Amino acid sequence: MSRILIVDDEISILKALQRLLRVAPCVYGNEQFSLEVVACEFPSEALKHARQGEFDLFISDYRMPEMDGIEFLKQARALQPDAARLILSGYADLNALVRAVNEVGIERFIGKPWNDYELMSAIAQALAHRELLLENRQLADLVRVEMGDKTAEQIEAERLERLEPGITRVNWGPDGSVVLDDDN
Amino acid sequence: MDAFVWDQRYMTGEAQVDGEHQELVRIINALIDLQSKYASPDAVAQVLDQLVNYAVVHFAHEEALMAESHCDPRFVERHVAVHRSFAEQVVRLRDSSADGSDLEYLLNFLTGWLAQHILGMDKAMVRQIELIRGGNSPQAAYDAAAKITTDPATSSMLDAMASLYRIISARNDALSELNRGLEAKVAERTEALKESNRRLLESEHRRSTETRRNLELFLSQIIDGDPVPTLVIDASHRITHWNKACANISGLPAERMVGTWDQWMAFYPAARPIMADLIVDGSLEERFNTYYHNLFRRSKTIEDAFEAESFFPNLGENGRWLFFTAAPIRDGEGRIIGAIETLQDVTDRHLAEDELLKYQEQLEAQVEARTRELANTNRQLEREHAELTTLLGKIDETQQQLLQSEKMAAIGQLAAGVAHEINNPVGFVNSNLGSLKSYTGNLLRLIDAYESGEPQAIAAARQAADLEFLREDLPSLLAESQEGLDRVTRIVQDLKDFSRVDQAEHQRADLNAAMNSTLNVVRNELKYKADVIVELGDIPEIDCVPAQLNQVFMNLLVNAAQAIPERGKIFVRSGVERDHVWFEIEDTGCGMSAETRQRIFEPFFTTKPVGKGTGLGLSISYDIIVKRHHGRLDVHSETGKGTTFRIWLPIVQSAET
Repeated sequence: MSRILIVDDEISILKALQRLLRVAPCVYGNEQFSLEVVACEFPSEALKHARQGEFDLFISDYRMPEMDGIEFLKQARALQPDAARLILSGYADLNALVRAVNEVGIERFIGKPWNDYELMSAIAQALAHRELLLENRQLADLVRVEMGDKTAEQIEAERLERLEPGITRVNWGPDGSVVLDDDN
Repeated sequence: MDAFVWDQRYMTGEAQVDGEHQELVRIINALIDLQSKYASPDAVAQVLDQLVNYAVVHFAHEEALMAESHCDPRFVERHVAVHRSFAEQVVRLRDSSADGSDLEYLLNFLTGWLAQHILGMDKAMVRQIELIRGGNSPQAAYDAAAKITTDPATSSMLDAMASLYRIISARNDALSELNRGLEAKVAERTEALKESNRRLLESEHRRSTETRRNLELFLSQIIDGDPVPTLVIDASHRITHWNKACANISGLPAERMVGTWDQWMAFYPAARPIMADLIVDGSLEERFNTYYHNLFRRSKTIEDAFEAESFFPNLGENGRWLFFTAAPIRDGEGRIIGAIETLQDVTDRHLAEDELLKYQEQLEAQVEARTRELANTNRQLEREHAELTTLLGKIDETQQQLLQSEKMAAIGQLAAGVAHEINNPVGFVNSNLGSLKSYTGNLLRLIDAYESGEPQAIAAARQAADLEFLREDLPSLLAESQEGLDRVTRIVQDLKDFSRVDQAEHQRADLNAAMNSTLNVVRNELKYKADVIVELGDIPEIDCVPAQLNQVFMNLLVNAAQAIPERGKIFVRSGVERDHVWFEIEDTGCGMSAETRQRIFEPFFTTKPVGKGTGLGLSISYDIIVKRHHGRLDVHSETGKGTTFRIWLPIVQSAET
């Protein structure tokens, strides 16, 4: 089951996407993904969801109140670096596109109005790509442990770090105290 | 006056004496009669003479009688003295009253005196004579007579009268004396006055002679001292005055000229009449035309005088221009007794005029040259002007292009919002249609299953179609899609409204509607930055070009949104005040500094990064509001608090637009 978080200030879009993702098959090669969709009207609400559970894919509109899609995805990546990111927008100028690619590393930019098939393919491809990457890393870690390049502790720390970024680092205060940053 | 009435009392008893007394009374009565009849003084004088003569005869008789009777000498002396006195009085009175005015007074005197004399003196005389005849001595008779007083009243009255007559006599004498003195004085004075008159006449005569001489001298001096050459001739054309100035100008001295008839010599080579001669002759105009053809005119200032101006080649070295005036001289009866002619040397003026003329010609030549230069310059300027006009046309064209590009830039800015706004509904409607297609497929399959009537197939189809979900979702899918398409339609309509070709003309338009359609177009641009609060008032339609004002509204709204860094509010208000409507666009953005505010209407001034704005938006807005709509564009801005633009537009445009 792949978890997808969708953000768009337009409720009709959210509903249309939910309909589409509910019925359309999400297939890449031989692999079919079954999807669980969380739809949010506001980026802040979406970020809240991102802090609470792991997602495989973030799909964001570009122009939204509060913050634009790039800003949202930046924050989402900080929370969940391994999740794939996708922008679905009716309009973005070249600047926005460049920022999206360079700053956020989006998987795809899909224009509105979208083609249902293309959108589904893009989602499936992104999910498959992510799965491949994760599998690749897992295998590489195994090899490194076997070859003695990495200890199991290190790998566990990396896993924890991925799960909760920053958890393996201690933020020392100037007086030797430990500063707990609770803004997340 | 009453007549002298004779009665017994006056009888003395001496016959001759009584008869003569009666004769005297008769003569006096005759006088009274004459006086009452206003008789002529001659007649009165005649009778008076008669009376005096008779009185003299009578006094002589009385005196003879007294001498004959040897009356006392004392009495005789008194009696005679009274007689003399009477005679003198009467003669004097007669002389003084010769004109008859005092006749009445004379008569009173005569009657009074005669009555008193008879009753007193004469009766005393007769009594003494009777006493002497009776044998008494004259002395005794005189004493007796003196003692006898016939009656005291009469005697005292006689005394009083006697003294009265003496007083009157004395007065008369004094008056006469006074009169004589006065007459003498009058005569003396008259003589003195006569003498004085004679002397006065003599001195007056002397003085008038002297005055005349002085006047002549004075006149001569005036004429002589006059710097204007002047000559005077008399009725016989003889020169009487030839002043120094005249001598100077003509070169002929006064001694040579005065008294001669040679006045022509000064001016002409041969004898001929000068203007003064013509005036003396009175031949005037017809002869003037002979000698001064077309040159003379009547003086405007002096009656009867004539003026002329002419060149005299014989005068001076190079000849002279003279302006001469001649006027008649008249006596008291208006007869012409001579003429005066003055000459003014106007050679200098003529020279100056010639100079002026020359100078004028020079000036004209200069002016002509200048005019040519100016014409050249003008042609050059015209060429330059034409070039400038061409350039201006190009600039105008460029400006139009700029305007167009600003419009395009604005539309480009809009495009993001509009694209978003259109693409969103199109996106979900399209997607919904895809979902609907799969829903429909499921439903149709379910229907097929029902038609086949196989319970297993029906159950499987129901399962696949998820009918419960479809029941719930289909209506909302359709409703949302419907709403999405409505939005597209509305946006397209707003875009059309915003840029309608038919709104590019002057027309009456409801600007609230224009503002609403503009707001719809840019709302998608605004909504990510600000809450738009619209408070439009009731405003009338105004004369305007709606498409241009839409552009202004859009510029101001987009600027307001761009001035807001995170999220703020934009207030849009309108209202009407007197003959203007106003629109206000207020933002809670970053505001502007004073320097920025001063420059915002300059073309190409922008605070945005290069490539983000043309810098023309506000300058064009200003142009549209102020120049094309004769309105006003006010700005109020405070750094950090926001900016308010207020547009004022006249409801009715003046005719020339």
